[in-house]
Amino acid sequence: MSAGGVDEAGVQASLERKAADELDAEVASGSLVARLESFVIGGFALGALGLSTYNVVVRYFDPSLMLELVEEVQVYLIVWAVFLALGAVTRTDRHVKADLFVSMLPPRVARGLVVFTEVLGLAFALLLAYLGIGIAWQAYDFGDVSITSLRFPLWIYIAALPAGALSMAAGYAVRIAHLVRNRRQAAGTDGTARLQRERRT
Amino acid sequence: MIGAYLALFLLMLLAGIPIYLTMGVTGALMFGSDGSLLAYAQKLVDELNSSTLIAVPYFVIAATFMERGGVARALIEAAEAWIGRVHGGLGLVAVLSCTIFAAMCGSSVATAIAMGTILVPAMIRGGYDRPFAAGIVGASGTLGILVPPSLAFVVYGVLADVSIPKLFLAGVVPGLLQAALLAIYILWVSRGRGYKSEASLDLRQKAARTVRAVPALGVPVLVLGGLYGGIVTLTESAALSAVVAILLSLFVYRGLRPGQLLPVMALSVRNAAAIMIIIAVALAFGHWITETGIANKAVALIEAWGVQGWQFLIAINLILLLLGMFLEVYSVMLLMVPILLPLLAPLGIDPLHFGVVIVINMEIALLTPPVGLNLFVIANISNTPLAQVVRGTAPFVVLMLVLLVALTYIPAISLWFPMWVMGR
Repeated sequence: MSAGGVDEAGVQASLERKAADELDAEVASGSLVARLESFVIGGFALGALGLSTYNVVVRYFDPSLMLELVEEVQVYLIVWAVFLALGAVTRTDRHVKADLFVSMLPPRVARGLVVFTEVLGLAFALLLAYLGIGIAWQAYDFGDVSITSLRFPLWIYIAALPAGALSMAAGYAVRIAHLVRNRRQAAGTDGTARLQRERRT
Repeated sequence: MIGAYLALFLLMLLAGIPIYLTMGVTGALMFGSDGSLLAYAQKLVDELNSSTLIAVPYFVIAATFMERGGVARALIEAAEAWIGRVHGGLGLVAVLSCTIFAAMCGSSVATAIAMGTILVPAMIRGGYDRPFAAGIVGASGTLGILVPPSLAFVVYGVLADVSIPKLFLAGVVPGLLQAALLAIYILWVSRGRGYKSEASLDLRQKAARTVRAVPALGVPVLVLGGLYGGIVTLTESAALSAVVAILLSLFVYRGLRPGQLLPVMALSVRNAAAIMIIIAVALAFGHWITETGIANKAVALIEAWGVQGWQFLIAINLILLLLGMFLEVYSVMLLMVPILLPLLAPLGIDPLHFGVVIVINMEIALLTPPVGLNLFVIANISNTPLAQVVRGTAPFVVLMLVLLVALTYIPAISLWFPMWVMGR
């Protein structure tokens, strides 16, 4: 038996197709905003990796070419990428949770909890955005800069928090709108069915 | 008041509210009660401003590219060329490949996906019992967070302020022990059931497969060699691992196209973001616990009760196993470590040793229903009913419990190697 012989196996082929389709869909589809988001997040991460690798390589060949700013800037790039990614994480409901008990509850209660979670998430995201703007403004106002030789304006780094919180809030808003639309559609379907039943009788 | 926060926290957790939101809202209420909400927000951004912590997204990027980039297949084919013909050959290939892959990517789920996608169908076609095949890859996949580099050790190291390179080394012997335990069991079962491949390869074919795997095999050498050789820092080694994974995926094994670079990168960052936001709120939460003196009260309580280290470890293992059944790995770690950490020193428990104990518990958590992530992964990729996967992993869970007991009560197993290499 050869693992190489599994090339033709259905499971493997279908999984590879599925993964490729997912990626193609991510590249090609989605709104302009979603594609731009992907581009920015991926770009920031790639930039951070590039900077780190540059320093590792030049340290080996010519340490005088090393950039002092790398350690600091890569943190800022990654933190910005992570915060911006939270919008998509929220929109696609990929936050880590323990939903086992919820799945055991009656559907009505479980639905109620889902709505409560989305609203609580939106409120928390808005609170973080508000607080984040507050501390970013303070940093800007006080002229806070990093303690390294780069003297990087810290409000730019701190602004990642409100930016990420706002993108999370947008994600929650999209999910809540989706829940409301589904509920209306379900109510509409119920109403139409009831009307049809009444007509028949 | 603290009791009320705790009750709210548990209620939100049980209500299926995301972990970050549960900890975040509780943390905000705690800080807010002191009138320091701005300090809470400041704490969140300050905690993330760490060059060590960004190793987490870097390792996630590496794992995602290795999982999707065709690296796994090259490793499996090379391993199979050499040990595929013995009894339980494909099972042993799974253990060996998972151990090597774990030394490259640091994630158990990525290891299980990458290896299981190829190996579970291969084993089933080779006549292996389906639950046994699923169990082998599920259990071997957990090595991802034990064998260095390990994402779990990075997270623990940041939370506990313990040397991450030392933690990585502390995972080496337990990782090899686990691999050996799994291999012995697979060999024993396979002999009994007659799982043996008759296909053979000549030396040239073996050499060709090995040469093809060399770039992949070079990754742990480069990354860990660089780290322990003092050439790169932990974060640089994580970045290097990600860059090499990208290059291998795009240009050597070609599992991905250049046009997929940014989307996969964004996907990786999203995966990492779900963990990073929990880390940020957990660190702020831990800060509050320290500030309020709860930890000191807990220490006083433990001293008053006369709790010994070994009793504490029994209790913690039971709690972690229970939590691990219901919560995702990093959530358990992020919930428990800030609370438990202050108790270690008074009880004479080495935080390095405790890190290994926690990670072994988390490995078991990946295999215990109802919320064992590796169970879902294997069930999903191999079209195997979850019940069969659970049945298949059960004997491996027993083996890992034996390992957990050994590692809990013989700290030297995990401590001697880091002490030997790096000293106290």
